[in-house]
Amino acid sequence: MIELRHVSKIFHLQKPVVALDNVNLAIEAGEMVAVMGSSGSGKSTLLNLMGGLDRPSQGQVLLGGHDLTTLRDDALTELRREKIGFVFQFFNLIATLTALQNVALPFLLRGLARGKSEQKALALLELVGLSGRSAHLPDELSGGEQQRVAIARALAFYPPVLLADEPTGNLDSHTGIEILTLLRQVREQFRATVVLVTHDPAAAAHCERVLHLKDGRLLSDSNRKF
Amino acid sequence: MALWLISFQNFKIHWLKNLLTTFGIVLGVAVFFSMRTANRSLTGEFHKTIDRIAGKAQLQVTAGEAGLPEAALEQVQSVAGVEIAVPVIEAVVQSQFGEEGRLLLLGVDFTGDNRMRGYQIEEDAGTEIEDPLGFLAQPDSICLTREFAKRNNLKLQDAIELDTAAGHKRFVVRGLVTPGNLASAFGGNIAVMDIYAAQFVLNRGPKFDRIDIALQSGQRLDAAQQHLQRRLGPGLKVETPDQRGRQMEALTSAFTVGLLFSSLVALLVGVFLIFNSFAVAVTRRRKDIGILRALGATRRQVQLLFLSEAFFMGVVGSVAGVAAGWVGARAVISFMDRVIQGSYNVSVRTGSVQAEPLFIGLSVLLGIAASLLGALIPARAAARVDPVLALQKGKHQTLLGRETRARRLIGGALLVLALLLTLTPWATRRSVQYLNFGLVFAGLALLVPSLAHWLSLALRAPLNRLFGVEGLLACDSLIQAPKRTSSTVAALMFSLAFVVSNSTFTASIKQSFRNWMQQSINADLFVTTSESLTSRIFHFPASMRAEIASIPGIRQVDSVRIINHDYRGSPIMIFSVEMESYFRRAAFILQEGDRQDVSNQLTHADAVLVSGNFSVLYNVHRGDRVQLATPSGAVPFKVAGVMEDYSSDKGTIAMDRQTYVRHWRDDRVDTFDVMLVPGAGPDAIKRRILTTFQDQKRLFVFTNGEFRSKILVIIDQFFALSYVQVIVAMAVAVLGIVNTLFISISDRRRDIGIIKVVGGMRRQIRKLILLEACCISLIATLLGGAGGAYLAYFTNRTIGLSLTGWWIPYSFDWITALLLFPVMTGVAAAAAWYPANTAIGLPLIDALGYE
Ligand SMILES: Nc1ncnc2c1ncn2[C@@H]1O[C@H](COP(=O)(O)OP(=O)(O)OP(=O)(O)O)[C@@H](O)[C@H]1O
Ligand SMILES: [Mg+2]
Repeated sequence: MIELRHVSKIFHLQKPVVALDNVNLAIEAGEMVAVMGSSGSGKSTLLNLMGGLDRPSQGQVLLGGHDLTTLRDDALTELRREKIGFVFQFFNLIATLTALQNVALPFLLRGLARGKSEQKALALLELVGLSGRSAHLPDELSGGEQQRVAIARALAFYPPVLLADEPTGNLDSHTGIEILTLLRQVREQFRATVVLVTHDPAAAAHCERVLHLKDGRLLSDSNRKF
Repeated sequence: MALWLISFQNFKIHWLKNLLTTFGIVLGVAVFFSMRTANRSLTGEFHKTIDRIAGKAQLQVTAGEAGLPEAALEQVQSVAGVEIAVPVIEAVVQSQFGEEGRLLLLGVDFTGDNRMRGYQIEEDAGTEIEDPLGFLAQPDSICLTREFAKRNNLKLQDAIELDTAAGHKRFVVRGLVTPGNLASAFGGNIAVMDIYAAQFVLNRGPKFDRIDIALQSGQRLDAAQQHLQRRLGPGLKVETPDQRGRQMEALTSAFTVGLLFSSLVALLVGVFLIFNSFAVAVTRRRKDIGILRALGATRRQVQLLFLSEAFFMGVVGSVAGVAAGWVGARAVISFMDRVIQGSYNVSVRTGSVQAEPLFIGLSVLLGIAASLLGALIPARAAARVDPVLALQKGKHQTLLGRETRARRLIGGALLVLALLLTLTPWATRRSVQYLNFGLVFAGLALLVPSLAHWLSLALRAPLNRLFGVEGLLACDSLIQAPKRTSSTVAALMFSLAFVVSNSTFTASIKQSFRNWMQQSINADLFVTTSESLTSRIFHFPASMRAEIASIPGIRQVDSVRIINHDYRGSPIMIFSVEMESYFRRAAFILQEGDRQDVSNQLTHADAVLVSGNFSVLYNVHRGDRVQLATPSGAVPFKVAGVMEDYSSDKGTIAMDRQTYVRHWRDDRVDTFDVMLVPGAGPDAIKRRILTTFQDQKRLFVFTNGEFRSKILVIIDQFFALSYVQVIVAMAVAVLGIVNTLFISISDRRRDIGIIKVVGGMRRQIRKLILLEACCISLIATLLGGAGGAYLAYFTNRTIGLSLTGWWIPYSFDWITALLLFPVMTGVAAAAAWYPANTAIGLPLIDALGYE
């Protein structure tokens, strides 16, 4: 499903920072993978490249057979619409839109009518157990609730790939477990590929495969199966 | 202080935003500074010219535009204490050298005057003249300043051509005034000639414009002035040169008030821009503030940090504003000069821009105060930032804009209060007007968030239908983010309200003018001495009436004489004509009095007709008496009626020609109104008049249509100033929307990034941002139009009325108001284009923020 070939990412600041160094990696459809590593090891960078939020300095990123590095901006957006759902550590909800509106956004952007979009959004909020808070603004929700809204939004078109960057990093452990359970459930229900960045070994334990990054290199790949 | 490093870094990163914001202050200060400075320079220059020309003269005797009879000279000379008294004629004439060749012509009696002004005249060294001053007194002799001669390549014995009452005439340069006080007056464009020659050239008749007096030493000035005034009677005016210089201030007063308002609006918008920019910055820098507070900074220090940033911007903006205002003043000066010359027949040659250091300081302080005022609320909000909440990611603390209900109520109350004030008898007081203005603006400012909210709600459905999902999202974003929208809307609304009210006020007056012109200007031909109609330097002799009347095809000729007359310190207009025939032909409207009765009174007694605005300004009505100081003494004229009239914003008094000639001892004519026999072609008769007087008279003939369009041009010129105000307000509006949209869009990069992540295409996002910008401008234009309609009403009923006395029927300027919609929408779209594209083009990880 996802394949990285000789991927390097160098940030050019005052001096070049090598965030990823010749990473090769293949993730099969339906896998649930955890990415671990110390701070600054390149986890977020890896995820961003997989989702086409950023472009590698070298190498190729393939997603469902498409080479992301050759796609233009709008084509990438198109691909994201079809294939990828994103969940961020800091939720990244639009503060001025209600929970319902945030979730309805992807539908609206795809040209669905307002009523239809909200109907679908409500169904998704129900799925993440938040249908009661649909009219609330992000500020009025707890961190866990916000993250669930973000997950509902990421699930809009039941994307085959779900990328989550420390989805529990900002939550207490109990809520974190709830979110992870939700992700697992989603994966099973929709047969999605899930890639999860985390610092938390407990979170990683929810995954069948764990990748370890260090200084931008792939240190180990458990390929552990349940 | 270490905290300033933070400010410095912040300025460096957000320099464009800060620059745009500071520009609001620059504009406000520049307008404020340039208008006042221009005014000051103009009056200052006027004073200086009077002063330099006065020479040793301590007192000057005048009798208004009609002039002093020659006999007055002996009368003055016979008064005890007078050392020298010399007659002067003064007029601005045109030479062949174009605009730069306007000369202030002084007609003097060289022998006597030499003691007054101490000429240093350089004459032709080659020729031996027995009586140099007598030689200069020849009717074709003229003296120029050396500077003027040099500038125009003139030498002694060269000829110079001047526009005179008898057409173009050649004069010989027989002397050059060497540099000195006199020669530097009026920019060096001074010409001196013999007074009797000047009387002839200007067709003044046996009259002087002025008698200059030097007192015997040991005389106290004020005592001598009182003594002279008593001896000469109320018909003549005895003033010091300094007092005479003050008349200029009365002329510019109307402009000063209008311009003060436009500079205040510009500053007010500047305050809003600062407010908006700081409000956004406080939200953006919430985390930094939280860190600072966590590290031990006190609330006071945080507040001080923002206020000192505002102070810095205020200083930079004000200093730049003064510099820009200095440049602007130059343009305003030449413009005002032209208007004053056109409307009041007073000419000033302006030199440099003059500004008092104190006023520069005041302008800078004003800019700084505006900046601090704008930053005050955001700075206090910054001080309230809760370090715990601020450092918790994804948590927002509502810092600004709560208590909507209270705000709405207060805002509504202020507006109602303003409306009530307009209805009270105090409404005509200037201080109440400023207060009213302030109330309206404050009320609107408080109501803007609610009004903008309601309008966004109303826009939602139509926008969705028209533009699909992007329209919907744009509207939702407006509805959900009232804080972000309000300051943009407010800044834009104020400037647009000012645009609309100004253009409505002007349009109303112009409409009234046109109606009035239709009724009162109805002669078939007009014979005048000046092409521009406004200059009253030259005059026709009364005898010319018969000459014109004898031309075949002409039924009747009326002689119009118009003078400016000082009435309680204000230059009102006195209009005189053969009233009987004027009443028969002109369809003017009498507000008080019966036509037949008024006509009778005017032709048989010392009665006058006052204009509606005179009646309002001085509270004079039918049956009252107005005391006018005529050259033959003070005369209490009976007011026979009140007429609708727009000829002067200072008020007009109309009287029969006989009455005028008798009291002012002046039978000269400015314009002959010519009525033709039925069937006669105006163009043919016009040619006939021109050929009859060819070569012997300086005259211009206009048909009714030509005359009207000339007057419209003059009116336009008079109102050009309000167009300047409109332009300033438009500039402020454009700056406002560019600034606020730039800030709000740049500040929403993260939101834009999120939309992109969840599947928003570039064109969708662009459409969304542009639609939002257009909505904001649409809402602001709606509110601005409504506010402008009210302000215009208010301006009309109070400021306009108290300044001009005109009750102008209100006619809303729909054209401008409606034009603003496409224009401002276009501006908004253009303003949003750049920041929108930048935000869209930003790499996603940058937009989402690197964590
Ligand atoms: N946008 C960027 N600009 C410059 N340098 C960057 C950027 N993003 C990442 N880096 C650098 O690349 C390296 C890897 O960063 P990355 O965010 O991928 O680490 P991470 O493993 O996600 O760390 P954390 O656990 O703290 O989130 C770091 O050294 C970081 O400084
Ligand atoms: Mg990371």
